[in-house]
Amino acid sequence: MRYQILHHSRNRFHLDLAKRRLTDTEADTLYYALLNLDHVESVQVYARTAQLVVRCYENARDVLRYIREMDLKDEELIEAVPEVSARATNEEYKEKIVMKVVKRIIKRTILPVPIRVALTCVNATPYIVHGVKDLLKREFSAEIVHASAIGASILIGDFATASSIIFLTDVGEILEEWTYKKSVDDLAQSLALNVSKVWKEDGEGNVQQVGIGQIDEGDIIHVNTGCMIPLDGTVIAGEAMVNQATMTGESVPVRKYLDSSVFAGTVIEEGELTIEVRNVSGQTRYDKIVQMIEESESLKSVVQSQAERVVSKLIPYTFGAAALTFLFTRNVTKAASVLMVDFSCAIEVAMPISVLSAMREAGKHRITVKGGSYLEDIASADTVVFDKTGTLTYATPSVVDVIPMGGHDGEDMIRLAACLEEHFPHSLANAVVRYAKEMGIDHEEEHAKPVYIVAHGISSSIHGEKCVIGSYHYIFEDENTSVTEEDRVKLDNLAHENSHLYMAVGGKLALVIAIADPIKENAREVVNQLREVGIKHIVMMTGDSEQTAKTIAAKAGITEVYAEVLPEDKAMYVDKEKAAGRKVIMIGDGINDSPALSTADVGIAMKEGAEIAQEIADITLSGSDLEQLISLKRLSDGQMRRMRSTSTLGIGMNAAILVAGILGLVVPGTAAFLHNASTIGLCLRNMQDVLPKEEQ
Amino acid sequence: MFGNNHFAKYAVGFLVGTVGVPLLKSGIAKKAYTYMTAGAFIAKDSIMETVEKTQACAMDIAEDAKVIVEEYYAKEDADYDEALADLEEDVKEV
Repeated sequence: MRYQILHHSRNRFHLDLAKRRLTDTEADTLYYALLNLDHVESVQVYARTAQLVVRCYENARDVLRYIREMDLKDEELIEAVPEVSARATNEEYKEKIVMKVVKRIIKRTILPVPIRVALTCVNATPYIVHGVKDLLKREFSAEIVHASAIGASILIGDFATASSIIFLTDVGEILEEWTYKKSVDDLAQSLALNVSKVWKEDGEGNVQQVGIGQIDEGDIIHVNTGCMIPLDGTVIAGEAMVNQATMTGESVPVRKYLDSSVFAGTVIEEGELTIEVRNVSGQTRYDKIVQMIEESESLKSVVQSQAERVVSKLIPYTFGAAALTFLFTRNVTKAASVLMVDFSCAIEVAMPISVLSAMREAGKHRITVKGGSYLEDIASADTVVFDKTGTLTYATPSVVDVIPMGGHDGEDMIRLAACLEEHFPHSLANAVVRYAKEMGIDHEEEHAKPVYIVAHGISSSIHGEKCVIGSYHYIFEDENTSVTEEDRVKLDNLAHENSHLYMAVGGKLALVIAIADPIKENAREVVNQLREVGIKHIVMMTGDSEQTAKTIAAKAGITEVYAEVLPEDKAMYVDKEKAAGRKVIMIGDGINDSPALSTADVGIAMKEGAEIAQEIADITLSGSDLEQLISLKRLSDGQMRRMRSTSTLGIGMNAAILVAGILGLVVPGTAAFLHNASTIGLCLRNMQDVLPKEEQ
Repeated sequence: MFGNNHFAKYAVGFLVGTVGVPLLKSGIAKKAYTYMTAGAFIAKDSIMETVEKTQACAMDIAEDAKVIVEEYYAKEDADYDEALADLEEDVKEV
């Protein structure tokens, strides 16, 4: 694509593309193709004039070369455009506002007065009708106040004021709709399917991982515990408890068995399923997600609902005040001024904008917040419960030592272990599989179907012998594995700071795998910062052994540690803290964190963890950086401050205008203008980011 | 326009009723409306194009202005450091 450089400064380039204009598809393709490049910080596409502004971090020349070689008709690039283009949405609303302003200018400057008056009456009608309807339903809403303000202006013959009120109210509504749509789309985008690999069964019963794009209708796929069902289909084998919260909103899992239908995006809590795929496309899911978000109660925050209730009580008093003013001053104009002021406006319009805008800003920090009420809860939280593996430690632990036992061959045992572990989403399992791959140890599926026992391990059988792999507690206490004397010496000499996986074949200990689970570098700092921002109570709970837990906790600076904890115990602890009056944030990434994540006031999941944790959690952090926690807390605190200031400023400014109107200092026209302009001002302020610009 | 000329008023009304309304509903008129609407859309697009061009240019100007501001502060910092160095030298000599 050829271009000309219109302006450049350091890492920002303003290009004029060699085309008259870009179609929407071309503009979207260009926008998203560039945005996905590593070196690009921001992109602005001007479709109608075919201009492009790109800001890069560095390597601007590479970006320019990419643009020159880019072909907008390329299928792959077109597919990379998401369901709803943010660029298109912004364009649409920008156009609405510009056209509204232009029409107003034309109306005021060119149209003759009688036509202007007629147009004003026509535009006023929907507002008045709406207001009367609400009045008849006995609902005191902002609509009534708008209708009365507009109606009063028309009655006293002040058409200019009426049209000004209509204009400013419309602009406020467009801004609100814009913010709402942006936030819902961003949220839906991040909740949308992110599954890339699927277990497919071919004709002979062999199971392989393939990319999701290679699955056709009628294919057979396997889904295991803790994994997301990637496509709509029918169950042809197996039984499972499936969490359908993303589809239907019900948090109680549903039993699925032979011939049941399953839906894309739902998660298996327990069990396994073999599914025949019915629907390959992803389109239907997006609409369902948007619908779910819109219907969800948690989108609104509690503070917001409270403010709305308080303010709607004030509405009848506004009418009362107007009536009183008329009685005392016998001046219609002053009474009309009182009606221009409406306390609920700022609350009903500016507050939702601020909540949604905060959610969107969290998205910019790569934090997905599923509802406004969760930001509130984070601001008022005083307790944080950390999971260890994958949360405080990197999600990619690695195998450091392999100790074969009972005279078995190390390589054979690793082969077997990898074979079993690759079916399950756990960071320790992934470590074993990766180690086997690095050692060049391949395997074929020789074992019987592996059963995952949450927080314990995996059980299966091979060549008739029972084979189990898992934690110390599971292998020795539950399964009563026996150990030879010489092996026992080796056991006692194992290094303490590593996590250990034990594998037993036929009741005898066969292998010990030592896995180093290094703590995240900034864990200690984050814990300290958490204390600074107001979290008084920090706890670590893990299913891992005492020793490993103590070591990691000491490194992180956490004093309250619970080790060898079962999932139900985690949930019970959270309940206990809640009963003691504390507000609890739970952070985890695995299947074993799910119960605790759902009972906590706010459940936070790491994006690299088990899908079920992400589905259940209220907030997900992507990019395994714990710093995001601090940003989240600061964002929530800032957001609460902003909401309080919105209501204070809103009520304060309107009260001032009200008093000025009664005293006759302002005419209704000015009062209406000030009221609406201040509301829009508050809206625009609330659309700004809460946190100062930081390096990503 | 008409003053007291009632005849003129009736004549215009008659014309509007018999000739005017059918004229306004006719095919030719519809074509005219279509062209006018198309013209309105093109006018709207041209307004949006102007807005885009203005926005793009304004951002360029803002960028250049930022560079100037940065250079200004850089120069101030340099001057300050220089003055401080001179002062320290003077102090040493004393």
